[in-house]
Formats: sequence, structure tokens, C-alpha cells
Amino acid sequence: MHDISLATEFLHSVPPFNTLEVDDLRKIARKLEAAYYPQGKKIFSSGQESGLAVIRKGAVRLVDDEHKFLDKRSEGELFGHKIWFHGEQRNYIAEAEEDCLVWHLPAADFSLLCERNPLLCEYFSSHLKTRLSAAAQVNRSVTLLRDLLKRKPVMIDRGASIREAARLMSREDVSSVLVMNELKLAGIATDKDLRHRVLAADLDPGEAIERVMTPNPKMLSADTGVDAALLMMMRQNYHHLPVVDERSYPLGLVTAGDILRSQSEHPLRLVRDIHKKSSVEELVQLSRRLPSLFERMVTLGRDVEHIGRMVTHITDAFTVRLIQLAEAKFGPPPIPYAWIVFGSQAREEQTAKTDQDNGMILKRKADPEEAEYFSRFSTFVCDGLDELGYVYCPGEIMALNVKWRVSLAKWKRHFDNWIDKPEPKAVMHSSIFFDMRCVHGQSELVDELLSYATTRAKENRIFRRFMATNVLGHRPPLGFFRRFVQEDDGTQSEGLNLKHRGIVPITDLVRMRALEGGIQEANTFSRIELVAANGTMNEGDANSLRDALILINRIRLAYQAEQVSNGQAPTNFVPPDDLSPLMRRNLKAAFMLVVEAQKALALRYQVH
Amino acid sequence: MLQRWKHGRRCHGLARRCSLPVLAEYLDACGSLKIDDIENTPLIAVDLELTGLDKEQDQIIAIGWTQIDDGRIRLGSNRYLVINADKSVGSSAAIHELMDHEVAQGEDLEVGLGELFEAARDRLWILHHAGLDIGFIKKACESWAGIIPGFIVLDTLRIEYRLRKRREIPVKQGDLQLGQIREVYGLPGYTAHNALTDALATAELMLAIASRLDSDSPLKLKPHLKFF
Amino acid sequence: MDLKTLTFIVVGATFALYIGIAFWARASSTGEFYVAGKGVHPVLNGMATAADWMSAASFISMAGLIAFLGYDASVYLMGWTGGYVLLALLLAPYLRKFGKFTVPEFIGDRFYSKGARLVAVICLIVASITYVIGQMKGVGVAFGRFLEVPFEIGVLVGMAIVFIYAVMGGMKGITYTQIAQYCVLIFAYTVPAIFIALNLTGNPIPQIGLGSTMSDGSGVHMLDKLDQIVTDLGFAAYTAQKGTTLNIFLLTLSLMIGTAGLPHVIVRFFTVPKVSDARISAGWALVFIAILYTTAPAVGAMARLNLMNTIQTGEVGSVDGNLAYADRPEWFKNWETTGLLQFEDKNGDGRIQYYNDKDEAFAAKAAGFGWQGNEMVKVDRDIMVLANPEIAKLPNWVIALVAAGGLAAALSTAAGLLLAISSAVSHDLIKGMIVPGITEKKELLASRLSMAGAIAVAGYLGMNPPGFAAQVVALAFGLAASSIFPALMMGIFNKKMNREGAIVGMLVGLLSTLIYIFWFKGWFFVPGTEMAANTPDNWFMGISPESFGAVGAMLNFIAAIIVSKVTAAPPEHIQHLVEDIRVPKGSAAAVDH
Repeated sequence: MHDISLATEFLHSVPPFNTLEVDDLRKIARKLEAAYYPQGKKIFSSGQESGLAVIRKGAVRLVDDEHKFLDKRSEGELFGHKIWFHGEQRNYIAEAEEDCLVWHLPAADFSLLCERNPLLCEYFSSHLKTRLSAAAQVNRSVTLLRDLLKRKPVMIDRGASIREAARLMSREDVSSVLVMNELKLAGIATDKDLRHRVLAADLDPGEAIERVMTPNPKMLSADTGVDAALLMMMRQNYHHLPVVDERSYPLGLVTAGDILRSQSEHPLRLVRDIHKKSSVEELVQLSRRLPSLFERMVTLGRDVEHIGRMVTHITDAFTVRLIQLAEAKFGPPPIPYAWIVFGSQAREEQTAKTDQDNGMILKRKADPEEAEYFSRFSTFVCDGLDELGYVYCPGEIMALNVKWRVSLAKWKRHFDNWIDKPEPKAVMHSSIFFDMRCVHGQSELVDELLSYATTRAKENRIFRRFMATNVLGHRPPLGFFRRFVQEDDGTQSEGLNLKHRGIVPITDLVRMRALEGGIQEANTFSRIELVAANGTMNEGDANSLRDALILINRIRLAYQAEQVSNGQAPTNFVPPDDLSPLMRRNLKAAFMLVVEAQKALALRYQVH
Repeated sequence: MLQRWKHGRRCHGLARRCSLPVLAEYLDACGSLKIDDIENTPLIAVDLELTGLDKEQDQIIAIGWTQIDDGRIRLGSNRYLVINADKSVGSSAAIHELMDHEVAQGEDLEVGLGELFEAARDRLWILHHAGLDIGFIKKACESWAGIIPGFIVLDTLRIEYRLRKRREIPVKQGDLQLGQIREVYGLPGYTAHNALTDALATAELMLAIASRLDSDSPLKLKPHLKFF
Repeated sequence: MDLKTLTFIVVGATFALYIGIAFWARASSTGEFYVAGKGVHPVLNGMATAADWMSAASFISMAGLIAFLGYDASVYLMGWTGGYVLLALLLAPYLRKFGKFTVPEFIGDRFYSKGARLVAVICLIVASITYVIGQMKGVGVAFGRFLEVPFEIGVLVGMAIVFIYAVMGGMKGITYTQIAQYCVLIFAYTVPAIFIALNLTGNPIPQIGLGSTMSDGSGVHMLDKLDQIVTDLGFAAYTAQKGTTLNIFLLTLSLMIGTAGLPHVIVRFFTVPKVSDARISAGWALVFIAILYTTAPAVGAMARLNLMNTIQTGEVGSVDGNLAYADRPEWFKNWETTGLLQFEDKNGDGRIQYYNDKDEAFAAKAAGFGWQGNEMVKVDRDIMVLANPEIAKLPNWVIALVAAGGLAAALSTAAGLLLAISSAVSHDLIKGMIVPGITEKKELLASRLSMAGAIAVAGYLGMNPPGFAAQVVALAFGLAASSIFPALMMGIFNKKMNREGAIVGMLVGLLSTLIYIFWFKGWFFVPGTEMAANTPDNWFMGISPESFGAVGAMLNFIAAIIVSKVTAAPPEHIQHLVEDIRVPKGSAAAVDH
């Protein structure tokens, strides 16, 4: 057990090996050979027989045949494989720049490793952009729905009678049956369907089951991660869904309960509990669980995108519950309305508790009495959120503020104003308000407003130019010669501000692209997908930006997890010295991509 | 030269007398061991954890080793064994962090020695501060097989000490601890006092010293041997 | 301190100032400066716009043109000023309402046609590059003189500096840098003018000095004196009108509408959030431009007077009435190294005779003095502004300042134009039409390459015989005037104007102007292929090729209107859009959508 742990522990910190399971790491570690090279000693010339080398300690310089410097590698970094220098793959000679201890993976074992593990293979055979992409893949050990399926689904042909179906269901002791059309799923019939559509409707049980089933049910691929599946089911309020293979053939049924049971203490259990509470006090009590929950999610090392969605889903649940309580308290609303949220909540990218950004769209202008209703209503909800820890927005972008609790027509005029008179404050507002999502009420109102606003922004390049100027205000922390620029408070350096200088610039860039492409979606990852799909953005550029976002976020979360486990409050500042050399290099590569995208933006809008 | 011949004779003699096949094979190979430079001599780095420093009273509670071939440490050959002892680890637990209940679940010393000598067959030993550990091994062999084998050893502490003396570098108390010397050679800091970690650390140190003593060609080992 | 060192110090100091401001502005733009929401004051923004507008052509060439062409050169003053007014009043506000900040974008969207957009892009790129030629020439003259190297080397140095400046780019968009550049250039232009005016007429204000009497006590008006000197040497009278009124009118019009669409200035109107503020800054910009433009005639006239006086030291025809070559002043020698001033002792008397040997009557008379032709075989017009303070023997720091001013004018305009060109090539042309899926990296590369390409073309044309450059200038402004301007106007003011009309109109305007120019200047400027000699007698109604752009524009209007009447009206939503942009926003907003 202990024999090789010294090696596996180290390998575990070396990308791309950190993607591997411990068992695989052990197998690799057993093949390793340690060698010591004093400063200046040639290690090898790259080629067929060089295998792969990990620097355990010290530093290695890579030079070409004429001894010209190509690159330097240090502790925790790799060499020996094919390496791209300035976009070109070259042979090189490795020599010790300092005394160093190197672990060699012999050539035969290295090629075997690559054969068995395509992800590693991709990592070792491609250059910067793909390396970034491989680094972004790290730590994605998600449980899939496939793993949860226990029994084969109970299926019946669509021509079978209702009676046959009912008998099958009681024989198999299930509450639902999948109705098949040949090899395709045609529908689903449940106990409830039999009660409502057969017994209550006095239908002849000899009729075909097809008549009472729910046709074309929602399906999930067996390769969907459980988090994504759960999120989707809870949001759409589905209780059980068929799981299908790539040819849409059912493999089984899964219920939200199955998933929750499989993931003991899943964060989204909280969402269920939220809906059971009926007073603000009880909700406040629940909200106490939030901080430890965030920490748990962060330390679990989950996918960044999913953390964002889950945290936001919890915030949404609190908000919706408060709105329901408000409706119960003040009576039904006199005018149809939509409760909207902005900023990171709208983008589904919250990673910790933040302040609230929300508003209301009313279907028409409210008369004074109606206005009074909505005033009390919004005060109740916003106060409630504040008590739950979603503190008041310092910029007063809240439904509490009468300015952001207006009719659809007035909202459109707000957007008109920002677009026609893009003064600094208006531009700042629009970067918040263009990220908008409906959490409760008439979503058509939000759709109409968003479609109006995005169309106007898409058509007005002068307005977008002002936004571009604003976007270029947040630059990645790279100075001259691509060195990291650390924030400081005047006395001491605080490290790299990964949020303001890394994530915000990307979010901003993507928003610009979304507006150019007339896209109404708020989530950054979805936006990236959509702008690439409709041709607003080159697909490669889009993927790079996404990978950069994932990478920066991952480093931030990893650092926060460490801070949490050390008992510190998580921050967005990461001192570059605390990062491994490879992480530093990847981070730099990610920042360079952002810089490039910003330069392209500056070019498109002629701003600097 | 004379020492080697004497050692060979002794080994062959012991091998004939030895009733344990593992040890006999080891001794047989040991008598005719080929010793060349560091890249052409198979080596084994060994370290023990003990309940104390007195070989009459104290016992071996862990053995760790790793092999070196062609001048490279094969991490796959790493081995770590906890040995059960009838004596309590007592205050030595503070050093090696092995608790009585772990020690109690360990292998029998005989099994451990068997594995060790099998791994050491055809190999030159490397130890740091060899005298102490070899003393314990000899004592253990005596009660295990009734004979006291001889050992040819590269003692990293001794080699480093002689190197420093030759270069007139003053040596202070504590300077020649494994971790201290490793730091000088730019080797990574390991947590000390785990038998395997220390064995590995000793092996790495040997490679580092060898490259320092003769950086142009692989180091000839004969001048650095110590016979026990 | 010698002049060269001083020039380096002053030019270096101004550059350090621009860069310093750029860094300061960038650092503070991310911080509280921006959040506080303080915009740039309209007066300051006006200064920045003026710096954009005033190029090396305005700073260096215009006074030179005036010095040698006299009264006729006033068309440039009127044309360029008019162009600015047109841009500020007619174009910018409507483009803004349309939400587009480049002319090709507007034309492409308004006429729902990629073809129309392509024509507009090409015309603008050609017009912009032509404009850059003027900047390159100006920079070359300045560097050539102050580094004391031949003009061509000066241009090469200038190309490198402009490229670096434009690629660094950062400084261009920053209003405060532009303001600093305006201050430097206006100071550099007016200070020597004041000194010289004071010197010649005793009146410190050059604009008034131009119309005053000489301070030498003769009581003669300065312009009369100048007229007398130049006619004495066989040149046409300075204040005489040499072309027909129609031709001058059309040339002015061509310059006006030809410059109206220049991209780098339009952008500046869209850096101010409020339309009313944009209007106020446009007004202030006009004031700041006027300060230089009204000084230019005085600078030109006085420079000419000083030059003539330097060479013709005494009575025309008297033995020692001309400057001995050996006694020539220092500035004369310096300009000789650049190759922009050349002397050839045709009659071997060691003295300089500078007169109009093309004038037959005077040439015969000159032969009587023993003169065997004009010995100033080359006097480049563009050296006048830079040489002026030297000729007037002003202190060295004034001369150094003028160099810094010329560079400021050239750099600010060149950088703006190059950014516009590179954006047009990479965004409008490549991304918009040729490779829509281009990566951002390639887009950036394309922009750099097009920038370098534009500089190379402009530098080459700037170095080569100015006659060629002049032809291209004429072509560029003619094309812009005859194709783009009418399409813009009809796009804004005629909602029934459709795609077919606009394209036919642009083609008619373009081709008619092109053919007219080639007719007199040779097909594609190949010498010998002219269909008729380029003389006023052959011109249609006495209209010179340079002035024909305005006629082409009229043909464009006529053709477009006729075609649009007989083809289908533009789509409904385009018509609504056109109505919308002309209706004040307030009334449109009152109708609840």
C-alpha cells in the first residue's frame, strides 16, 4: 500500500496525470525510473526512445541542435514527448539547468499509456490551445445516469390494450410503463394516467394504451451527468424520466429520488426543503446551511458550470418561495407580472452568496392602488432575501426600487435610453440588465423585453462601441513581457484577482458577442455555444474562450477550497507563487487568449 | 583488494553452511559480485526503522528498500514492510510514527529478511550510516539462520564525509543527516523516518553524490566500498 | 545649443507627453475615474476632434500650396473646412441615429446590399490611403530636415514611426492625448506666424497682418508688395484668380464632399454619449480648426515674401541683385541635403536666379540680364512651413517646436486613418465578405498586415514624383465625391431610394469621374495614353479633372433617382427606419411600442 504512494502523490499534482484514478497512477508510478542529473548534464535528445520525463526537482532547459534556447521546464512539468515551440513541433535536447531529479517513464510504457488513455494522448500530442483544453478537462469525474440504472425498463407495444398494460404494471410492480413503437420510445403511461384518463373518463380498457399515454416524453441520455439531470428534473418538475441510449432505445427509468439517494446529502436536497417551508423564519434557518454547502461543493471539485447552476438554483428556490409566500400574504397580483433577476444570478453563475439584483416587469402601468400592492409585495420579497443573506444591492437594482418595478413599456424605454444615450452609468447598467432571466411569473413579458432589447443592441453598433470601451476596462493581469501583474493595496501584494481580471473580462466579452449575434440567453457557457453555432464567433475562438473560462474558474475554486480547508474565508485573490508551474503556464495561456479576444474587440470597434 | 577476496571467501564458506535457500543463494551471489561503475552495478538502497539504537535490546519494526539498475532507481521495486515486534515501540513512535497496533499486525521478521535478501541478491547495498542498520541485520540473521553474513556497502554518510574532508569543508554536528546532505544536492525534501522514504532518499542521494564525484563518466564504485 | 539637439529634445518631450498621458488615462479609466461618470468636456472634445481633422496636409502642405498658388489655393481652405461642416451637420447625426459608425456599414445596411457595401469600402480605403500619403510626405519632410538626411530616408524613418505608433494604437483613441497634440500643433503653428507677422507688418495677429501695410515704413500693403515682387520675376500675380470661377467652385465642392466621408473623424462624433454634446463639440472643433485655417494664408504669403526677399536681394536685373550661392544661409544648405531644394548654376555666375522661365516674355527679358533659366530647379512646396521660421531667423526653439507640431499633426491623423483602414480591411472586407468564419487571431493579423501595407503604399507614393501622388489624390477625392457622398445623402433623405438606384448611381458617378480623369491624365496614368492634352482649352466647360468629382456626383444623383423610380421601392422596414432617423427621437419615443 505504501510502496508507491510517494510517487503517486506527486504525480497526482502533475497535469495531465491528475485526471487519472489512483489505481492508474500506481500503475504508471511503478514504471518510473528516477535519475539524477547535475547542472549542465545532457539528459537526452528527444526522439523515439526518450519516453516521458517528469521533473521531480530542479529545472531542465530544452535547446535545439544548435544549442539555441527553446523553453524551460521546472518542477512538476513534463518533457520528452513531442513539444510545440512557437506553434511548431521540433526536436530538442534536454539538459539540466539546475541539479535535478527526473522521473523517466520508458518509451514503451509511455506509448502503452497513450494507447490506453486517449485523453492523455491528446494532451501529449497537441499544442497550446489543445493543451489548455486538456487542462480544462481535468477533474471531471462525474457520475453518469448510466451508473444509476438498476432494472430494465418495463415496456409494452403501443398497440397493446390498456388492460394488458395495467396487468403488466401490477405484475412487475411498477407505477409506469414505457410504450414502444417498434424500437423507438413512443410515450409513457403511469398509474395516474390510468386513474384520470381511463377510470375517471370511463374509457374501455380494451382500447389501445396509445390513447392514454403521454406521447413523446422528455428523455435523457445515459451519458448525462447526474447533476445536470437532477437540475433539469427539478426545474421542469419531472418526477421520473426514461433514460435512453444513443439510438433512443430505453435503458431504464430514473427518478429524482434515485439520484438524490445516490448522492448522499446532495446540495439540491436543500431545494426540496425550501419548498416545504412556510415562513421567512424557517427559510432563514435553512439558509444557515448555505455557507457549508458552498464549501462542500467547492471542495468536491465539481464542474464549474454545474456549481454555478446549482448555487443559482438554490437562490432561485429561495426567491420563488418568498414570492409564493408574498402572494399568499397579500393576495393574488392585480396585474400579471414577471419577477426577473440580473447579473450572475441571471447567468446562473453564482458561486457564493452574493447581493441581490432583481426587478419586476408589470404587464401594464399600475394605478396607485395596484402600485401600492407591488410596493408591499416587493418589499416583502427583497427584505426576505436580505434576511436570508442575499443582502441589498448597493446600486439599488432591486424590485424594491420603484424604478425597477415598472411596466413592460417603461422597461423598453429604459433600454432605449441606455442605447441612445450611452453615458457611463447607462453602459454599466446595460451590462447588468442584458443578463436577465425570469424566475417567476409571466415569462412572456421577459421574452418580449429581451427580444426588444437585444434586437436594438444588435442593430446599434455605436452603442455596442460604448459597451466595448467598458469591456476593455477590465484587462487580464498581464503586464509587459506577459508577466503577472498583482493587485496591491498599497502595502502588500494581494495576488491575482481572478474574478475581476479573469472571469469578468470573459463574461463581458461573451456578452458583447451575444449582443452582436442577437442572442437572448444569459448563461455564459450557453452564449458561447450559441454564438459559435450562429457564426457570430469562430468556433475555435469560442472553444478557447470557454476553456479559458473553465480553467480560470477551476484554479479559483481550487484555491478557494484550499482556503476553506485551512479555515480562511475564500477570496478571489490568488498569489501566483502558490500555483504550480504548469498551472501558472496554463493560467498565462488563458489570460493570453483573453488579451487576444480583447484586441480583436478593440479592432472591431476601433477603441483602445 | 585483499578485503574483497577475504569477503568472497567468507561468503562462499557461509553459503555452503547455510540451510536457508534464500540466504544461501544471496551469499553465493555475494561472493562473486561484479563491482564496476554506478551504471553497471545493480544496487539496493535499504533503510530500517527501529525501536531504539541498542541492537541488544531494540528491534527492527520496518524495512524499506528500492533497487537501482543502470544508474536509475526503479520505483516499481519499492518495498515497504512493517515487522511485528514483541517489544513496545515506546517513545520511538514519535520518530517513525508507527504505533504498537500497526506493528503488531506486521510481518514476521523472518519473512521480512527473506524478502530483503531475495531482493538484495546480486546487488551492492546502499545505506546511510550503515553501521547501525547492518548491526541490526547481522543480529537478526544470527537468530534467523544461525550465521552472520558479510556485507559490501556504499555508505552515503561515509562517502560524503570523506568527500568533505578531502575538500576541507568543515563538518558540524547534524550536517551529515540524510535530509541535510540532500538539501546540498538540491534534492526534494521528504518526510524522514519512514523506512521506504529514507531508502529512496538514500538511493537518490547516492546518484547525486556519484554525479558530483565524477561528472564526466559513471563513478567507479570500488574505492568507495565498506566491508562489514 | 544647436538646432539638431534642441529639435530632438522638443520632439522627444512632446512624445513623452503623449505616452505619459496615454498611460495615465488608461490607468485611471479602469478605476474610479470611469465610475464617477465624468465625460470629456465638449470644448476639450472639440480640440481632440480638431487634432484628428488637421493633418500634415493642413499643417505643412496647405500653407505651402498657398505660398505658391496664391489666391487659387483658397479652394483647399474652403473645401476642407466645408467638408468638416458637412460631416458634422449632415452626416454624423444621422449615422448616429442609424447606429452605424462607418460609412460602408451604413450604405450596406441602408441599401440592404453587400455589393453597395463593397463599393463603399473600396472607395473609402482608397481615399484614406491617399490621405495617408499626405501624412507620410509631411513626416518625411520633417524628419529629412531635422535629421539632415535625404527626403527618402526621412520618409522611411517616418513610416517606421507611424507604424509603431499605429500598432501601439493605445494612444490614438485617448482623447487627452489628442488634446495635447492639438495644443502642440496649434502652438507650433501660430507662434512663428505671430513672430513673422510682427516682423513684417508690425501687427502680431497674422490674420490682420496679412491685410496690413509693411512695417518698413513704405506704407505699401503686404500683399501688394508680394504681387509686385512675384510679377517682377515673371510669376503670376499672387492674388490673381487663375482658373475659371466654375472650375474653382466645382473643385471646392469636390474637396468638400470628397472629404465628408473620411472614417477617422466620423468615429470621434460617436465617442460622446449625448447627441447634444456631440453637436457642441463639433462647433468647438470648427473654432479650433479655424484658428489654424485662417492663419494659413498669412503664413503662406509671408513665407513666399521672405523667400523671394532672401534670394532676390536687390533690383531685378542688377549685377548684385541676386544672392551669391556662396553666401546662402544655413537653412538653404540644410534643405539642400534633403533634396527638396535644388540649385543649379546654369549661367555660372555663382549667384542664384529664381524666376519664371516658363513665361516667355519674361524669359526673353531675363536672357538680357545674362540669366540662362530658373536656377532653383526644385523648390518643394511642403518645405515652406518648416523653413519659414528659419528664413525669418526666429530663435531655434521656435524652429524645433514647428517640427514637433508637424509630427503631431501627421501622427494623429495617420494613426486614426490607419486604424480605420485596418478595421475596414479586416472587419468589413475579410470578416464581413470574404471569410466570415475567420479566427480572431487571423483578424488581428489581417489588420496589422493591412496597416503595414497601407503605410508601404502611402510611403512609396509619398516618395515618388509628387505629380503622381497628386493624380491619385484627385482620383481618390473624385471617386469618394462622385460615389459615396450621393449614396449617403439619398440614403438619409430619400426613403424611396432603393438598392438598384443606389448601385447604378454609384457606378455612374464612379465611372464618369474615372473616365474623365483618365481621358486627360492617361488610362491608369500611363503616360502617352491621354485622349487629349490636359489643358483648360480641352476640358469640358473648363472643368479640370480634379474638379470633376462634383459633376460625377450630380450624374450619380440623376441616375439614382431615375432608376429608383422605375424599380421596386425598398422594403417597408427600411423605409420606416429612414423616417425614424430623421424624426427627432422624443416624438418617436412618445408612441409606446
